[in-house]
Amino acid sequence: MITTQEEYSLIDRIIAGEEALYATLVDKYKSYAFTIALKVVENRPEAEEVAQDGFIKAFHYLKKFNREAKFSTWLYRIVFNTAISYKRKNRQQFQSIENSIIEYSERADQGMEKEDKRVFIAQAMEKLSDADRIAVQLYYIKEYSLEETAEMLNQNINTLKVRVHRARQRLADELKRILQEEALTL
Amino acid sequence: MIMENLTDDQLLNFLDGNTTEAERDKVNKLNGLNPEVKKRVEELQAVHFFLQNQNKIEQPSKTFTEKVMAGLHARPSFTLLSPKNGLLLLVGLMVASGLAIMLVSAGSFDQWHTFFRLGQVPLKNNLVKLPTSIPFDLKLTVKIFVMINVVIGFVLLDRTILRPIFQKRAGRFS
Repeated sequence: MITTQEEYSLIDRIIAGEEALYATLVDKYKSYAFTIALKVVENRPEAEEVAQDGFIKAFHYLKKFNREAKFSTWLYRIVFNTAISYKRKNRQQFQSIENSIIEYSERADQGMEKEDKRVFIAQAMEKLSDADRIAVQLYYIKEYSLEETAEMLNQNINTLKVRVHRARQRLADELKRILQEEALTL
Repeated sequence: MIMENLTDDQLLNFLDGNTTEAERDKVNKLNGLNPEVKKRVEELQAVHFFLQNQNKIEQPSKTFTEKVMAGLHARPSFTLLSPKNGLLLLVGLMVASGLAIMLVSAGSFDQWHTFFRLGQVPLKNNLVKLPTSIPFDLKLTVKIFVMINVVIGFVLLDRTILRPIFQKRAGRFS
């Protein structure tokens, strides 16, 4: 585990020409960067490509990192923006079938009602806007504070709070609606 | 949704553990007494537990770091066009070139050669000498247009379709 100061000196050395040290930063932050990319593009191979692209961009902009925010926050914001641009460009493409199947395949050993709810909420998640869905997902990962998550997503903290609450409300409302419809068809 | 002075926001704060003891007691009390509150708590709780279980840190492939390091100085890929737009442009170029070739083969441009006459352009001095005429052959122009289209077509095919496909495939198998 390296401290913020050690991280800054590492960055200085990378800027000075010791590029191989960048691998240390990539290793440290790759999982969360990949997670962010995956939440946005919803496809593993594409998320991997997007996260790698984000790291490469961050490397080229490293001199511009002004150290007002944490390196992680700055990096994740680049990854997030890269993922959003990628998704906008590829909006028309079909979503990978692999990801959809996972939602419905793990029915074993769980109560049917509970599992049904899970499937219904997964369906409702697809109806949320990208901004609301990503906000609520990153909020629940609990890896970073709300302030840091807001900074990563380039949003005001109050906006993020509202998004998270609103997204959960919508999911609950959608779940209620689906359950009512299900009850009527029985 | 508002039930007996209890809002969704209060219930969500309760689930997040962001409430005072008094607020917690109020929710617990109403949850036991009011079926409407109980139902709403259950709905929000189902969402809360679903999100808690779904969202974990994902791990990228083992070669992630090597790929980033290898790509630090790689030439940036052609990103102006998506594969779909690239394909559409390529089809457009092929159609235009095909039509042009058909018209040339049918001899439609055989009569279209002329001269732009410049002999009567008034010049104030004798320092610049203009040719009296410039030959123009539409058939040759169309052939050049087709050649340029073919070159652009190959570049498009490579940058927007073939290269992304092979890069993606290489990424999947490595």
